[in-house]
Amino acid sequence: MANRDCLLAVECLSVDFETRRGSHTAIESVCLDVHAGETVAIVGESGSGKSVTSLAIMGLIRKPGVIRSGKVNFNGMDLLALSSCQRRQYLGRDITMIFQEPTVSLNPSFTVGYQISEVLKLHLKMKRTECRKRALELLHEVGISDSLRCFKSYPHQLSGGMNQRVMIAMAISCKPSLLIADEPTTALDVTVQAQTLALLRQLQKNNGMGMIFITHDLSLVPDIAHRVLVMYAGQIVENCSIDVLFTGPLHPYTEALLKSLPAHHDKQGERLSTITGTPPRAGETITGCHFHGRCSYARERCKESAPKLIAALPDDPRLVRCFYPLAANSKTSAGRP
Amino acid sequence: MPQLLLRRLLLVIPTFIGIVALTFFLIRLAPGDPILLIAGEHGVSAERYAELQHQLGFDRPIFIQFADYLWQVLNGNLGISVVTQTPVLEEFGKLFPATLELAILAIILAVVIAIPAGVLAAVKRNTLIDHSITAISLVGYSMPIFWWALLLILLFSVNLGWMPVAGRLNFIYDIDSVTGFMLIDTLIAGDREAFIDALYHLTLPAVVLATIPLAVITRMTRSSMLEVLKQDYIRTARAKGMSETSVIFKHALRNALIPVITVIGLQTSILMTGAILTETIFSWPGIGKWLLEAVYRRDYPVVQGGVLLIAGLVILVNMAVDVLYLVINPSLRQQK
Repeated sequence: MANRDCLLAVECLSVDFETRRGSHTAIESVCLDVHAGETVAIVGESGSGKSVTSLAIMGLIRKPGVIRSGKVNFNGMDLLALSSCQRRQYLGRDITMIFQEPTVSLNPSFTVGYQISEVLKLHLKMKRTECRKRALELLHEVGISDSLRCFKSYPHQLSGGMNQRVMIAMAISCKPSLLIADEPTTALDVTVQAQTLALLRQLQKNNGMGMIFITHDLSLVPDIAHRVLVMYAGQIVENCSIDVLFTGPLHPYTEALLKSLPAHHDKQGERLSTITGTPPRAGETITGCHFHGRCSYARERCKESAPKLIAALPDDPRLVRCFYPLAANSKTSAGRP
Repeated sequence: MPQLLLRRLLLVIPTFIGIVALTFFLIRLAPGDPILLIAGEHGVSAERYAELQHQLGFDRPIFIQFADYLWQVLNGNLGISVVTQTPVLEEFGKLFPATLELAILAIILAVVIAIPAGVLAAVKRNTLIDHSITAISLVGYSMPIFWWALLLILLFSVNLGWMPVAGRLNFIYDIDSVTGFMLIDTLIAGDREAFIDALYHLTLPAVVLATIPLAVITRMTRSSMLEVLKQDYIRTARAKGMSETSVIFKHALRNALIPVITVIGLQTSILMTGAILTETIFSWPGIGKWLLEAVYRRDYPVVQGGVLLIAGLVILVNMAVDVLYLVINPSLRQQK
């Protein structure tokens, strides 16, 4: 599935965390493609390996984390094969990242203007006055009206939403081809969340960049993404286009996630469905399908051998890691015209 | 920011009055009679005793004495030493440069070594380098200072003969005291050899005096750096493509220094008040030794005045730390 024409092609990426009690796998054989101008959402609950995946793509996994195997092809070049010094040329310029908690992701000791200028100076070798001019433009671009005041402010003087805009301004400063947004709206309140999403969508469209949007909130996905990857316990369990996700999920986990969304719960007076049990703990070894313990469709085979991420149907681009994909079994439940 | 400083400045007034009261009454509560101590072993006749008591003002009620002293202090008069009959301020002025010179050298030595060592230990966490630095600073912190000083004298002065044993300058040099700082005075005199000799005399006491601050600042830098390196903004700096050197020395150290500065300030004020042990061992003519002798002789004006001046210095250093804090930590500045 490694497509060399893609902007980003991650092949079989595995990350282990080495602790005193031995190493445990955080993500396992993660494969994903991002095309230019495409937004791919990675959805999953806490600890499913979404953030580890994004940090591994950036080469920012630090001890005790170790990238065990895999390739991260960016424009056809394997980032993981580069030295950290070579890789740094791309970070912050061609691949950028925004984080979950904007206020603590900015350095409290420097003005936000300085922190944006720093990137411009580092990657574009701009002079001080140019940096300032460009930084003000960028702040304006992300919808900050009083850009001069913002430029001179410290992160603690700005709201969370403003800080996330600053982070976004910093991330788009060198016109990156890939932006990784790691739960960018989780720490923000709902109105600011909507504004931030709209901003990201607009910037992505205007700059034609590829984007990886990581979230645990499935309801945000249709607003922003073209394609969805569902992660569970360190593995991608489903990879499908956004317009088929809500109508015909293939993996039982995806189906269970969709059922637990309040918006998709139309039966009045009935309890919202939840997924019983808890995800496997870090370091726990699981045989068979990682989801079998919580899966209502699990059969004997699911406990014994592990399914691979494969095309569910011969002519279907959707990929699923399940022996008994839902829509493949009962065509009716797919519900697609 | 000026508002904050003004508030701090106003707080100095009650602090000072408290210190004056405390030293005034505490020294008088201590056993020992200054007049008998002046008189020496031959003692003094009852008439002479009464005369001296009256002359020194000790026959008045204690609260009158206190009020009088407070009034004198407010007028900038710290009194005259009972023993030497010279004004306290003058004696202090003569001895303080020696203490200050030593303290400045010691704190510079400590900071210059401790901060890089602390950063190194934090960056190389749980390696041999980290463990060695932590172990050495623990030894430095727990070692008795007088013993450490004697070991150094034994090795470098007695056995190797590299360093002088005591004092500030070899008696063969005759240097005019202009600033009271031997290093500066020798430079003013243009005597290169005397300057080197003064530096030699300063080395061992400065090393001894720097030991504890060195250990304390190293440990503080290490733990503060470890805390900062975990922060999200460090990850952001790395994601920006910054080099590891910039990440550590610019983004991390800038924030890690905030608690370290407090510790440096505290250690500086401790050193400024005169290191009694170090000054005694190296016969360093500083205020630590001076004050200790004044306590022995129950020289009330010297003890009171000396403590007050030292308290003033400590307050000054603390204010300097506060200002530095505002410079380095923007979130403390007044939000507009």
